[in-house]
Amino acid sequence: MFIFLPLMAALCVGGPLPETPSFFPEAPEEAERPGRAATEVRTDVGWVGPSQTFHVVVAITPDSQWHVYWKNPGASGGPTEFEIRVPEGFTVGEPQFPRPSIFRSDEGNTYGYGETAAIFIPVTAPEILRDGTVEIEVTTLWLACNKNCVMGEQTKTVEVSTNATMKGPLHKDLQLSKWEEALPKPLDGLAGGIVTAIGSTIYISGESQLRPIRFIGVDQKGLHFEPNSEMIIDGDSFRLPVPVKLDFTAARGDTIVVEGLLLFGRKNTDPSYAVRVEVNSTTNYHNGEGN
Amino acid sequence: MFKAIVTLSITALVATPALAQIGVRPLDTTPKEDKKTVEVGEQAPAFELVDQNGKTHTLQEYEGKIVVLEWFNETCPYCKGTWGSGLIPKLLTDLQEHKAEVVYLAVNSSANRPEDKIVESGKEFLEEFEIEIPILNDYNGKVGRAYKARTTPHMFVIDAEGILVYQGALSDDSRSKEGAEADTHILRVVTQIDAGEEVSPSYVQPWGCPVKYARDGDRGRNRDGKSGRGGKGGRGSGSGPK
Repeated sequence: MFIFLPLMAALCVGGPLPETPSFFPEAPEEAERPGRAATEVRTDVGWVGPSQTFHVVVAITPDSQWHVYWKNPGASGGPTEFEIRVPEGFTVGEPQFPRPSIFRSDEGNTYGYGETAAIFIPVTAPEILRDGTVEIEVTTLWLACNKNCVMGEQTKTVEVSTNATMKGPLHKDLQLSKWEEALPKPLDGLAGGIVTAIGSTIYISGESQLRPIRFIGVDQKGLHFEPNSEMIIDGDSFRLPVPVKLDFTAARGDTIVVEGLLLFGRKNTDPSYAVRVEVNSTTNYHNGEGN
Repeated sequence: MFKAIVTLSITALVATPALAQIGVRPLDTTPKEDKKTVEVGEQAPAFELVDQNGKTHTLQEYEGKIVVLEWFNETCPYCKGTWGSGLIPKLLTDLQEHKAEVVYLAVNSSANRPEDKIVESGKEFLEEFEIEIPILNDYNGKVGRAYKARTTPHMFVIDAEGILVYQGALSDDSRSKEGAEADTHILRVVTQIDAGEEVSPSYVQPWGCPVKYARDGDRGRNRDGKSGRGGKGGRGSGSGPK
């Protein structure tokens, strides 16, 4: 679990930050919440059966005029992260974040959410399960920013009924469906969707009439995204080159996984696709030359 | 009392690979997003800035020494965390043990409060730790923009020849979970320089609060002490990059 050191707690969480002076007056806001955001946690199933994968859904809502960040905050900011406690035998997968908004500034773009964002965390039950209930504890850690920034942390518990023999039905309420819609789809769900790595460039191709088409990458050790190059368009078909800088020494391995999101249109409800490609130092990459 | 001094950096664009044209119509693709910081391996931008005690510091005066710059904002929870957890105080001590002389300077490019309040607040922050390092006042943001500092903290290491050899994250422990025991990229970089090794990695994505730069409408409003809101006793923000 994340532990705040006493001094840090006193400075950061326990006491509110010094108010922004009236030098730059802010618009009146609703009552201040600690961390300037709040979370709600639920699941997407009625109950859980043996070996069933379901989702713990964390909805994070920043205060009005504040925002929290995507898993890659971009030029600045801090990612929204989770610590999950599950009963023995349960396993937790990678959180799936909805399409973020792009916040533009002179210092570079950042990615995040100015309104409620629902993150889906896959959890798989063990093969052998007893009838009853289990408890899952989710701690969400975030950075919320407006004119200043505050760190937030909230722990919520959700109870899930378990059934020793039957898998549970999915909840199909409107809210959940809406949240699911905002999740990125796999790239192979896009007509002609394909990603390839050649030398130090990732090429993403597909077909869509929606414009603009943009890509946002997830920086990691040994991988840095360069500004996107000009896209090639042929009717509905596109090919987007994404130049990257690869440093296999820094990545401490022969393979770097390049991940990001392909965004169509401008609205948060427009489609997005998850892009993922492995670049191997020996097979895909020869001193920057394609093979 | 500990005495030390600090700075930052930038990146560059990569040549677009030649591509067979399948179509014709170039489109608005991606924004010029993620403006890169200055490329390591380049000469670090010169600067002349005044610290919280009115002393002027230039990069030039530290020629022959390794200069570490920490973009700093004492109200940012990440800075509070890295200082409050003991990580930066320990780093300052560790850096003294290296054979190379290291100058550690904090740079504050925030302009979201009156300048004199920012200077005073930084001073009070350091007093809590009983540590004396210069906090260079970059209220007009010229130096921060020259280095393209994006976050607090955003770290830059400049070698004895004035070449930028590292820029990016302080450590991999953004939430100070490991406290003072976290490994820092700064100590790693200085150790690599000491050993005559190549600095690698020379960039790690920085994390932290956005730097609260003065916007167009704010610039000049409060930066030189002549507006009535500027620093006390001649504490201005200096003349920025040289």
